[in-house]
Amino acid sequence: MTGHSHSDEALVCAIREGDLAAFDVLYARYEVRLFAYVRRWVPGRARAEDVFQEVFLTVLRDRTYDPQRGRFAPWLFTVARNRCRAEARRGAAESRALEAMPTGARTVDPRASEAADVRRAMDALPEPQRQLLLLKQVAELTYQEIATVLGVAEGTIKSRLHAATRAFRAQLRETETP
Amino acid sequence: MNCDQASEHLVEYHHDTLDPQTRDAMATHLASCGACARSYCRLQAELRGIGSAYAERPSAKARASLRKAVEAEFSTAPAPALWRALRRPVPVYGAVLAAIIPLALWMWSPSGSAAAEEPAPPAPARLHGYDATAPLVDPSVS
Repeated sequence: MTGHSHSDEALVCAIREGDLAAFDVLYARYEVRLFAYVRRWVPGRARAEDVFQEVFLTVLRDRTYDPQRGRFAPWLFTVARNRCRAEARRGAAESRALEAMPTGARTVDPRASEAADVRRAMDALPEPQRQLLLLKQVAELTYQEIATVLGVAEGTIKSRLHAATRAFRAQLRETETP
Repeated sequence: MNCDQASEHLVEYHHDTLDPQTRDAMATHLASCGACARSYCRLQAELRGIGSAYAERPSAKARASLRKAVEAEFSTAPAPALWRALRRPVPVYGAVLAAIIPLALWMWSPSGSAAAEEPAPPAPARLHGYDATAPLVDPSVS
C-alpha cells in the first residue's frame, strides 16, 4: 500500500501488517502537524523528538485502538496531548517555542518576525484558548475531531474557538511589530 | 446586511456558528463587498499564520529511528530459523510440553513410579495345591 488516497485508518492496518510504505505515507501526513504540536509543549528539540516518536509508536502499538471503528487523528492527538501534559508537569516548561528560533532570524527575516508576533500573541492567551487554536490550526483537526480530543460537544468547540479567535486577533494587534 | 454587521459576524462565519439565515446573508455580503471580503481573507491568513509560526519538522535522524522501531515492531520478514521454530505453526516448546506432561502424570500416578519403586510382595509359594512350606509327609507311612 503506497497510495496517498488511503485513509489513515487503512494505513494503520497496513503498518500493523508490516507495510513500511504505509508508514512512510502516514508519517508524511502527520510529521509537521504532530511535531509542531509536541514542540509547543516540550522544551528542547531533542526531547520533543523523543516524545514525538513515543507518541507515534504508542498509537501504532496500542491494540485497544481499532482503526476500523475510530478516527486516527483524534486518537493520535489525544495520546499526544496526554503525553505532553505529563511531560510539562515534569517541569522545565519555562522556555518554549520562541527560544527555538534564532534571534538573528527574528530580526532579519520579515516572515520570521510575523511568526514571532503570532507566537507572542498565542503565548498571551489563556492555556485553554491556546490549546484550541493549536489543535485547529497546527494539528489541523476538524471541529468534530477536536471535540473528541477534548471530550466536549462540537458546538461548544465552535463557540470556544470563536472566543479564542477574537482573543488571538486582539493580542496580535497589540503585539505586532511596527 | 451592512459592513458593520458583517465585520461583527466575521469570526462566527469562519467557525460556522451563525444561524443559517445570517450565514446566507453573510455569504451574499462577502460576495458583493470587496472590503469585507478582504477582511475575511485577512482573518483566514492570520489563522493560517498560527500553523506557519509553529510549523517544524522532526530531524531526519528522528524519522529514521522511528521507522526502524516500526520495522522492528511490525515487520513480517522471515525470522531466524530458531525463532520460527519457536513460534510457528506449533511452538516447539508446546510440543515438548505435550510430551512431558503425560510422562510426568504417569510417573506421579500410583500405578507409575511409586508402584514401580516398591518391591513386589513375594508370590505365594502354593501352586496348584502344592504347599512348599508344609512339612514333608511320607504317604507310605499312613
